Amino acid sequence: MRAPRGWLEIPRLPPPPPIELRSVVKRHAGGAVVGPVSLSLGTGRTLALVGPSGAGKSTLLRLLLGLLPPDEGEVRFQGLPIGPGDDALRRRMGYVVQGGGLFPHLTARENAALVARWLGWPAARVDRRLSELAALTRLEPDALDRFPGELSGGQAQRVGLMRALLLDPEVLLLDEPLGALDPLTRVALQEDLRAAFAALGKTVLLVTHDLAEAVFFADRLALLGGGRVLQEGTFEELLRAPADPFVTRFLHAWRGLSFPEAR
Amino acid sequence: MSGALLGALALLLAAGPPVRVGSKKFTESVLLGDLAAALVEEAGAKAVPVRELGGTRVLWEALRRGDVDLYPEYTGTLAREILAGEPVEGLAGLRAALARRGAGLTAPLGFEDTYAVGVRKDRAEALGLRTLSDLSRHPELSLGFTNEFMDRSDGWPALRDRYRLRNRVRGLDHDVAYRALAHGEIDATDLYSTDPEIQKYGLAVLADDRRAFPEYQALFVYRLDLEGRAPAALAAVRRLEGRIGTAEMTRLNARVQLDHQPSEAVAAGFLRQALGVAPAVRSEGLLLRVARRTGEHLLLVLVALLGAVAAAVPLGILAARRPGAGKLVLGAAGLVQTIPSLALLVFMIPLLGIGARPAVAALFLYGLLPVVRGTWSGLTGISPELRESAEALGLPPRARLWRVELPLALPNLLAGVRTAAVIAVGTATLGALIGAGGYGQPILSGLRLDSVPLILEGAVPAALLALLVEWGFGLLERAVVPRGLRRG
Repeated sequence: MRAPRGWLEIPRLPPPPPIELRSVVKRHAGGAVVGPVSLSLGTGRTLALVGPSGAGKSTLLRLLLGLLPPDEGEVRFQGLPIGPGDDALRRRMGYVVQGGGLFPHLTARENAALVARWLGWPAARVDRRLSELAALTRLEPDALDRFPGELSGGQAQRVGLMRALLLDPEVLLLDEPLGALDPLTRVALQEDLRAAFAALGKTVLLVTHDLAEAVFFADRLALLGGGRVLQEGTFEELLRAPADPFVTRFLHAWRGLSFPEAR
Repeated sequence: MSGALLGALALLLAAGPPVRVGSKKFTESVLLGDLAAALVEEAGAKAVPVRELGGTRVLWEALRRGDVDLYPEYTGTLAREILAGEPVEGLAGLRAALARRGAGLTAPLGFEDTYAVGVRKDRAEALGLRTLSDLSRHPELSLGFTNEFMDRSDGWPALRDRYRLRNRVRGLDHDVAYRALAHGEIDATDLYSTDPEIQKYGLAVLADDRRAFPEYQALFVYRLDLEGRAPAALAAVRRLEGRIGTAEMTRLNARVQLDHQPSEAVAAGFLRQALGVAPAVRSEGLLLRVARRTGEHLLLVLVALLGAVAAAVPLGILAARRPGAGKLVLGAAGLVQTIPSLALLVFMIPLLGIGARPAVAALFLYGLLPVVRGTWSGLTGISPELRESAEALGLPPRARLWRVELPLALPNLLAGVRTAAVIAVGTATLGALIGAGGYGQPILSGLRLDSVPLILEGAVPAALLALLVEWGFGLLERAVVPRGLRRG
């Protein structure tokens, strides 16, 4: 009897998605419930979780990072379940905190290099990586030796991005990346950020309440309302075929804010 | 060279184990201790004076534990405070009762320090007053007694009943009584039978011929094992038995208390004159004295502070991590802080004896609260965003604590250590009461002898040390707190 051809071949499975939420539910002590949410983000894609405040954006972000354990369902990072104890997995994600989230007792350089130094990287390797990232994020080199209190909002956000990118993570998570900045800084930073994302080709997930920001950075949007994903798709898809009256209201609320067209 | 070394070694061996001579914190006790110490040295043993301890209980505990080998005591005190309630018959009974507790007694030294009644000398001579019985024949004399003497059952009530006195009596303050006596406003007042004031105001002490007052004969108490351990030293101390009369003791007290002569020198003078012994008086210059006490004081403060930081920082971390445990830890540390320092020091004696160890333990306990609070408030004051930021970076808990949380808590933690250090410098002065030395020693002697220079000898360095600690912590903060945490 002949063995069937190729019986020793391991079937080739598609790589697991970097980020995956499977019917995740989180109940807060106050009674608010987030979920059930299922979400999957493929390698190299950019997704924006967008929605009004209170829609559950921050909770979803914490679940994705494994900082909160879900009450139901499962959160997976590159196919592995992630929870509060999984610090090593979190080091493979870059997280840009709103406003930079820099530690006031460390200089910009020390902030960005904190985890690398803890991992025992040699100083020369850290310095090389820092100058690459300073160029990528367009941070003035002399800003690296200042303390967070001595940086402008835009600079702090750039340092926050450098810190997130230092270990060259597979996935980048951003919380309101342009949130607290003045309009001129916003414009400069959003161009630089988009250029950086394009250069890196990483899987990016950003969380924002700002539809314009979401559309600017992401190919796909997931619109959140009342703790659930109401619709997922491109901006055009959402606009063309809203799945829920709330989607329409949210999209039009943003349109209403745009300037009246000149006559 | 090696011969000299061998000689020194032989001398050291010949000197045998040290004999620790204790005394209480009043002039007469210190003097008797100095007499005994000089005689111990004269006998070729090494005497270690443990002077001016806080009271009878402190000395008795120290004797039982072997921190003190002998100290001067009074028969009445032994019967009342050490054998509280146990009936003993005379000196033999007392000796037997103490032997069961491992302590021996020398024979009485020759004087009593008990309540006495003093009259101005000229008045006593004019009226022919020699005894208290004589006083009862003069009901026209007016008496002025201190309020304590009026209230104590072994004071005025005992005196009045025993001698059937019918005199007019007034309650007065001690200092006022002496002046009233000098001005003739009162004719007699109460005193201790060896008070130096007897000499200062020229008073005659009336003999207690019908024994109204309890017997307080002076003698030495010693550990019974001293008989085997240092028989020559003990025999030398026994040479004082029956050699110090009441008038002699009063005179010696006056030389120290009123003439401000050093106690060791007065003791040496007496030994020369009464026993023909010429002990070497060790005199230490002011600078050496202050340097030695600075060493003692710093040792107490540093050891206690290092211990407090080592224990309190982990406790503060625990308190910040677990609010339940936190309440318990902060509550317990706060409770320790409410115990009066003297009481805490005395509590330590049964556990740790006397000297530096119990003082360090007490200072350690006082240091806990400020450091625990500083650590706890520093850690709980970190914003949740920063805390989460460190977690999201993928730093494990230990790395978060060491690299983010403790550095952020450092300013508060240091402020706590600074408070603990200043408290320790101040409280360590009380260590002198339990034989720990330090700056408290001259303060204690100065208060006892009413000598401002002596008080300043301790108080000025203590204040300077406190300032130095403040200044040092200012420098330390600048050195270890990063610039990013210093603004605002």
